[in-house]
Amino acid sequence: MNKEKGTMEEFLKKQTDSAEELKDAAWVNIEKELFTKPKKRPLWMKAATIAAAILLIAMSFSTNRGQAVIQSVWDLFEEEKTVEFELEGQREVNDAKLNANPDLDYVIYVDESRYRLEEGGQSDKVVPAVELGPEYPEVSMEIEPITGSSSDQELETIRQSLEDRDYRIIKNTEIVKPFEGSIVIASEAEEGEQQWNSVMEKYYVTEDDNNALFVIKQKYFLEAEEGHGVRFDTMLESFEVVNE
Amino acid sequence: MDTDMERKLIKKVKKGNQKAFKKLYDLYSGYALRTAFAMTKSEADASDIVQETFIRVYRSIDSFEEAKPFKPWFYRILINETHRLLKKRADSRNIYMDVEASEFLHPASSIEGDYEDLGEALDQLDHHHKTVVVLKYLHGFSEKEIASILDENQNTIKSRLYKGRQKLKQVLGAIEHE
Repeated sequence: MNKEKGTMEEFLKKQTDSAEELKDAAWVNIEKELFTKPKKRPLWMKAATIAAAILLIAMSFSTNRGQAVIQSVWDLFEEEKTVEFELEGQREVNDAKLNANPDLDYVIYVDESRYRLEEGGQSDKVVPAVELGPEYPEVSMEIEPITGSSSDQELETIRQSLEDRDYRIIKNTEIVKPFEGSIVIASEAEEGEQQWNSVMEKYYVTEDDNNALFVIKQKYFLEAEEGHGVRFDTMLESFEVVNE
Repeated sequence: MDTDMERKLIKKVKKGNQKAFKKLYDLYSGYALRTAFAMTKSEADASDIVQETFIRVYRSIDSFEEAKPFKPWFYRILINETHRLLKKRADSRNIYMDVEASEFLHPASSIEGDYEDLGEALDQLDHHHKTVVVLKYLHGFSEKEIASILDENQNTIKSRLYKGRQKLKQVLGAIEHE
């Protein structure tokens, strides 16, 4: 039996040795099919792409690093991705676009049919594409890289800030989804006293293997929890730290 | 690569990270190509199968449950692709056998003697038996793992392996007496 097993193993391995040489050629075809397929775009999008390209070229004169990072990031990720949202039991499929801020070293796919990413110096904010009326509390998701601190320190700062403002901490735990880290959820209202417009704050703290630390702060109101809250979390599943 | 590293890699692939996908390709493509080649005896078909498999993996990675092992899920796609292509080729099988089988059984690299007979014997197995034999002996998968890949009962796999071995012995015996 062992002799038979040994012979068959040897035979199959020797017989298929040449197949391993096909690896590189097969990859070229896979890459072509998955990552370099030309996309049909409407005219306005082509115009926007050209405008963005001009802007990037202009940026390269002011920041070489910015240019290098942007290029490599766009090389690594698909430009557009289909994102499925599940909102109150209803499935919704949207195209989300890659957004990358080279200064903050992260990428995220944003559902640009509903949101836009506002880039800032220290942090970026995903906000509704169409502004909500003045009667609604703020809805946003702020993404901030943190340096010179640790996850534990940041969590402590968040908890302290919530306590100082009399927020009620609803959840404070470690998570593995949408990424490994910690979550803190808090409400401005006491239990049983919540209104439709009670402000909610949700914090994610995550640190990757290279100690890149990020704090993501979502702000919305109770009634928007199943809408904006779920959409923010779904977009966050595509969040990734880019170490250059 | 340990399970934890693989889980992290797959998480990255799920997020659309192409670099991570290439890493996954480097890890799995070698044996995937060997498997497909052992099943089809054609380099072109093996390459097509593996390309299609990885394209499917990338496009359906969101449906992969991270709590489960990746390898059986991957090989299930690979074997399905292989069977799909073999089925498609079935009509032109005679032509295919004439051209390709002789290369497989008498390759330029000259695998001689017992190996030559073994190739001939393996070729006599139907695809059900051949699949389990290839998974078992090329990869060293356990019967339980093969059952998981093929979505079959473990006893079915045991039986296919037994029958496959018996058939190989029969054919090898017949070759010896020729």
